[in-house]
Amino acid sequence: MNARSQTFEFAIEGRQIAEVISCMFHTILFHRCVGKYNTKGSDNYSVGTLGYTDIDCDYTDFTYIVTTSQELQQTISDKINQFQDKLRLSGLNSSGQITLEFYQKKKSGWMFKPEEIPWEIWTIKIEQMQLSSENERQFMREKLSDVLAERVFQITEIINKPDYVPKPPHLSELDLVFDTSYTDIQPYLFKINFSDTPTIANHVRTILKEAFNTSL
Amino acid sequence: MSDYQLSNEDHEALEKFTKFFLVKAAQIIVQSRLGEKKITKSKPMCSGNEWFHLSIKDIPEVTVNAKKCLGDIQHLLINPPHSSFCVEISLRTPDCDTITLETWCISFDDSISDPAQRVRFNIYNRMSIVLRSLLTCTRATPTYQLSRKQSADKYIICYKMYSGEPIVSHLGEHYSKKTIGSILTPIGRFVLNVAYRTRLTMSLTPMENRPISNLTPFGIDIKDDHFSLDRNHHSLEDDNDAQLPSAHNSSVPKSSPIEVMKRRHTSSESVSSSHGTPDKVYYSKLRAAFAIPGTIAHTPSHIGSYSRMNDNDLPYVLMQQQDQNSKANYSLSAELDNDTAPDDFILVEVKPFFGKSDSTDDLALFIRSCQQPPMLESFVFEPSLGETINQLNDELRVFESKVEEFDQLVGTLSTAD
Repeated sequence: MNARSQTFEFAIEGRQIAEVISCMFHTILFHRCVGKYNTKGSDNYSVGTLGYTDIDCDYTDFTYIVTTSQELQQTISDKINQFQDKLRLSGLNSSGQITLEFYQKKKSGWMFKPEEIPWEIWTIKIEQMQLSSENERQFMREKLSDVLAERVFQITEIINKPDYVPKPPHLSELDLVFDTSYTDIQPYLFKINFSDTPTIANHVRTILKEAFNTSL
Repeated sequence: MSDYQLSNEDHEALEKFTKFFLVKAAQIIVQSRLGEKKITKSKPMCSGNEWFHLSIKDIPEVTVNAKKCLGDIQHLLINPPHSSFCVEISLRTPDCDTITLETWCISFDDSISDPAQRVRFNIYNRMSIVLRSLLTCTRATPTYQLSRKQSADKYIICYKMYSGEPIVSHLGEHYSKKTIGSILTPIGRFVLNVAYRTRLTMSLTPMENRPISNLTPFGIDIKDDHFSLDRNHHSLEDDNDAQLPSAHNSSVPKSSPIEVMKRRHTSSESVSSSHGTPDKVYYSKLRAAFAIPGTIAHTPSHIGSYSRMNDNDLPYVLMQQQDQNSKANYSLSAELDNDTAPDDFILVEVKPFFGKSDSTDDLALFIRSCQQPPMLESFVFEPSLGETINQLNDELRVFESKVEEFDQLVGTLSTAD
């Protein structure tokens, strides 16, 4: 099965990176969370309730929804901040990408780790801009709010398509589909990866690594 | 039309889910326009009172209005004639002028269905997803930012619910339409749409009576008769919000405004803090105009004059107009009295470098003379109109007598390399 993927691109200032990515990821995650499953015996369970919180952006006039969960917000925030710091340290006009990948685990024998099969990948490509005047900065601030609104509508349109979403498994195998480590919510298994613009050296290194692995 | 027949049990379940889905959708829309940020808690243990696994607190008035609008079971969406359920959001100024901002519509199309969808699992979960999409999208339309800045002395956001075809004609010419989500059922498909205004200029007279307007650089339409003293005050009867969509609809009478919390807008009042389009600039000016103390006289009688001056609700023009009753700072600079200027200055002792601290020192006098340049002669010796005309006539006579010299000069300039 091929994971469906979606890419969004933004050309923004360094200080806007964190909240743009946060807006996108939390909008997606709000749709990719369920209430906490509480088992009552082998086959009975109840599902908790998801809360939501409005978050105002600081560097643009936009408000987005996040799932009310301190743990989830911390997890996302840590990753995004790492990416932002790395990008901003790379230089003023650097670019990079960060991905939010939803996957499910597939057992592949008792000796091996379960295989992780992605089923949905959201990629955000960031190109860092350096603006020279306050007018430009203000224009970008206003334009960004329109862009974010458009992206939110796009995300809801994609999510509401009748595409594959893992079915809730048996209660004993919940952690093959959901991340059950959170105390108040239960998101689908996800991971966040990021990279700056691949250099030639990195590309060669990746090719050599793959060739080495396949030859074993 | 779908031929599939749901079992009685499934049909009852679907009706119940639909009813709560519509009520929750109305709650989400109305609550998002209250003008405040929302926070609800995630609860690991379900209390049994929360529908669709979402923590959405209900405002009793909204629930009552929604249920009244839905009426009895005949008006429920899934039963013929499948009347759509609509929530309309509008803006109302202190003068009771109204502009419709957006129309949210949940409709049911029985021509598209999927018999494989299970009511108690698939449809319920899909409703939950669509409600979440609704939560996120209510923050993405321009009305959300407007609603966050509302207050009783500027403008308030109102809502109205009705069943029937959505009215989009009063959203302006270039309204935008988005689909939030859809839910397939064995007997049809729910679709949740929003149509929202993109041009936020206010029109106070019906389209057919509106005179030709001029577009200013600020994107604001100004009527030709704006400055006329015998303007017609806008009548509430022209407000389309008060009209029912059709005789068959069980509409709810126009609702009272959403409960408004008076909040001090902490961000900058400048135009640049608003969205970038001219239309949004207009709304920023709208906000600023209502808040400018200089243009509002401090007498109760001003309320009447304010509404009169704001027949067209054009804050830019309002800012330019002089309020005769107020002591605003918008009076023309020509009226300033120069004789009062020295009294406004604060005496600062000049302490020149390398000079004596005594203000009679030459260096100090020199510095002071540079800081305060002498008055221009034309302001000291003001000739009368007659003297000025005579002087101009004399100058013209001199120039006319030396026309040949001027021509020679121009000739040398044109032939020079």
